[in-house]
Amino acid sequence: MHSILRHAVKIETDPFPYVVIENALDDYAELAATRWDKDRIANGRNYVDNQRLDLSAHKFLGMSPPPVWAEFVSYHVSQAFWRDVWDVFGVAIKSTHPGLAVGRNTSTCMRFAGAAKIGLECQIGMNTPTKTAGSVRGPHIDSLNEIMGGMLYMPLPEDNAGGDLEIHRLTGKPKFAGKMQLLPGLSEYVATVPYRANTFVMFVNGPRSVHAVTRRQPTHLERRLVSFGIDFEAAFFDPMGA
Amino acid sequence: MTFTPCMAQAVLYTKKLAPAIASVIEFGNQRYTAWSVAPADSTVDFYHRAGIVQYLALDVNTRMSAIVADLNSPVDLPPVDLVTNNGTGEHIFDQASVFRNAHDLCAVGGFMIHCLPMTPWVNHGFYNYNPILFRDIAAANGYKVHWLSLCSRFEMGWNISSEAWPFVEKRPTELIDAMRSINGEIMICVIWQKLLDGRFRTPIQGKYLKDVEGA
Repeated sequence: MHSILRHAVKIETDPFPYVVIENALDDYAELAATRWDKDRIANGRNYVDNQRLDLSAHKFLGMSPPPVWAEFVSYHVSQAFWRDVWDVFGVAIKSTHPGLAVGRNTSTCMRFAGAAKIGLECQIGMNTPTKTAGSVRGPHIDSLNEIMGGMLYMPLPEDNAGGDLEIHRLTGKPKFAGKMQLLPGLSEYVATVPYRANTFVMFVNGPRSVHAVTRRQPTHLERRLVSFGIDFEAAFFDPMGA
Repeated sequence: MTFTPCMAQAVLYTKKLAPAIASVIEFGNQRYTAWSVAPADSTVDFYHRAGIVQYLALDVNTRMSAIVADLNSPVDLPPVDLVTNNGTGEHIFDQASVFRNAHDLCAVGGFMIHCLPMTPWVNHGFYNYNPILFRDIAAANGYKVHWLSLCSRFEMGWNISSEAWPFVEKRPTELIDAMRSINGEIMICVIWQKLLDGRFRTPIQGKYLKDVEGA
């Protein structure tokens, strides 16, 4: 199993560090063909329209997934993957968070499966089908203990309902509501990462790492993705420090 | 440290050699003074305007976009396209560690710029440098030498990397003439390209290579 960062070439740094990789996985077709359907991912949970549901790596690996998926998820919650991330983003991490005490050999574990400075997550995610148009999330930043966030998009071929990622630039002093949701009018659109098969986006999380998901039109299809997260053991940045 | 016109010229020269350079690690935070070469609000701004968008400086404090790092020890960062040592290495006790860090932090195919004091620079730092050091480090590590000059803080000087006279030991007439042609304190500016993967190799001074038993 190859790292999803294998084809990383150029890090964008404006307005925050991120990388977009098209055709990220050479063996994407096999993963797509064996991905579980939405009921299996819901795993008995009730859901409403356009709701985000995830299966954590820890839970997923305990459910006897297809071997190709087990290998994929296991690698991307490993120390080896953290080193891949460090080799691509290490300078960007340090320039965004100068005081964050992490390095290439910082101890890691799979999230919910141990104690280490860094927890890695690779969860099988989806936004549920929706009867009305709407966005899952407006401009926001991720959790205050998250170092890196990432998404691999896996839409069904017939899915044209939307759900792209938008990169935003903070334009004012940040004010948040709820789950690090930026109040309206405090960011401007910069770029779109299309919800396209085998497209991977990863970014350094921080007070300027504002991103959003575009509206999704009514559809019977779920928005399919794999969500990557790399967390520090505690909150390490001030969201008002942008 | 001061980001001088000489240093700005060296960076722009290197960027011309390799336009794809996008990331830099600087030894020492850098106060920008190179307005005669390129307008910029800061050294970070200078690099951004030059298209080098990933910037990190290593210093003993976090001023001017630096992170705290001790160059006497290995620095745990991934390699970048360009590593600069502009007036910093002379303040670090462990010289092998300075050049080893530059080597390790530079990607294969990437570049290193060392711009360091030669003379008089009395008590400026722990050390002053001779041209021979840069010839022999480059030889030991297979670096391509794109530039070597005696320079002032205002001018990069002229490229003498293909000359033999900068390394003459006894009666170095041409070297002394070149030093006399520079107003003020003299520095050495070198631009290397790292061509080979592998660990940093400590040089033996070239003139003694034939004396090494078992070599």
